[in-house]
Amino acid sequence: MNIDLKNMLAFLEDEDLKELLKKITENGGEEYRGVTVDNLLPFLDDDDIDELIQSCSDNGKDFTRYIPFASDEKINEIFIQRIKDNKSIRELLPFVDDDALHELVVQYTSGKDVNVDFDDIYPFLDDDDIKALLHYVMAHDEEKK
Amino acid sequence: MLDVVKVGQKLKDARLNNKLSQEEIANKIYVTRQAVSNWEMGISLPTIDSLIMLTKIYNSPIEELLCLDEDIVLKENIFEGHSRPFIIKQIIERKLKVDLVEVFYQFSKKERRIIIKAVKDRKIIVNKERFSEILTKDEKNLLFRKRKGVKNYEY
Repeated sequence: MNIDLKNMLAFLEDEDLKELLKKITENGGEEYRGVTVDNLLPFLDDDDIDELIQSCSDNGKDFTRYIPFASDEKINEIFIQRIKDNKSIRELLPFVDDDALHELVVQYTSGKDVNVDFDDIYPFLDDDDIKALLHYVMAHDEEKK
Repeated sequence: MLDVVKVGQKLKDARLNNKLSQEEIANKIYVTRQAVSNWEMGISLPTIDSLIMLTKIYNSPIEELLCLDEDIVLKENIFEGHSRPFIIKQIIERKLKVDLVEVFYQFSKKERRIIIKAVKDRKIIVNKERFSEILTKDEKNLLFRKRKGVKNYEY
């Protein structure tokens, strides 16, 4: 008799869920016995999701659909790491803490070299940071003239 | 976070008030007509350089073009005339007050999960009992899943 693992997820222990996640990732990240990571997400512990997203980020795998489930701390951590590594931060922007984005604006508007494209970032800033950034750029443009 | 849809409408209004075509704007700021069209439809936003040029052409301050500090007016469909991520972020940051139970059906599956996580992380305060009544089985699991070392998730 074949047991449908998908229907069993709610009854599995943390360790079993973790094992299942490991099997799926070993299986190329697609599925294991009909169970996908998406099926597992509602049952996984926050720490497991953070580990999953970190592993995807480190290995260059797409982690976009897991971002909403990761902790704020992990998202900010990966965001800062990816800036340092000069990797794309676009997919993280809607979920990054306002404070982390604010810090980038503060650095940039104080004349420091910030390794990000503000064309990507400005739509996600809060109103005060958008004003500070754009007025800084406009003042800078005027100075050049 | 900017409301891309509302900004798009504002850019379109500003262009029409100045009696200019998308083609004319595109030529003035060295972008394609399609780019201008995408901005006005709320698909994308101008680059900072393009935005600064637009403020000069439209003779409009940047705050006005980007709809900064404006009140958010919601219709029955809370997403009508607004960007969906913008509305969701406003709800999560408690800048916009809605009765989640009443409007929850308007969210997509992915958006519902984002909201549930915000409830779980206590960023949004709701009546847990009333809220859980409208959730699917999987969503309830997401809301109530235990954390390591914690037997019952208390609110």
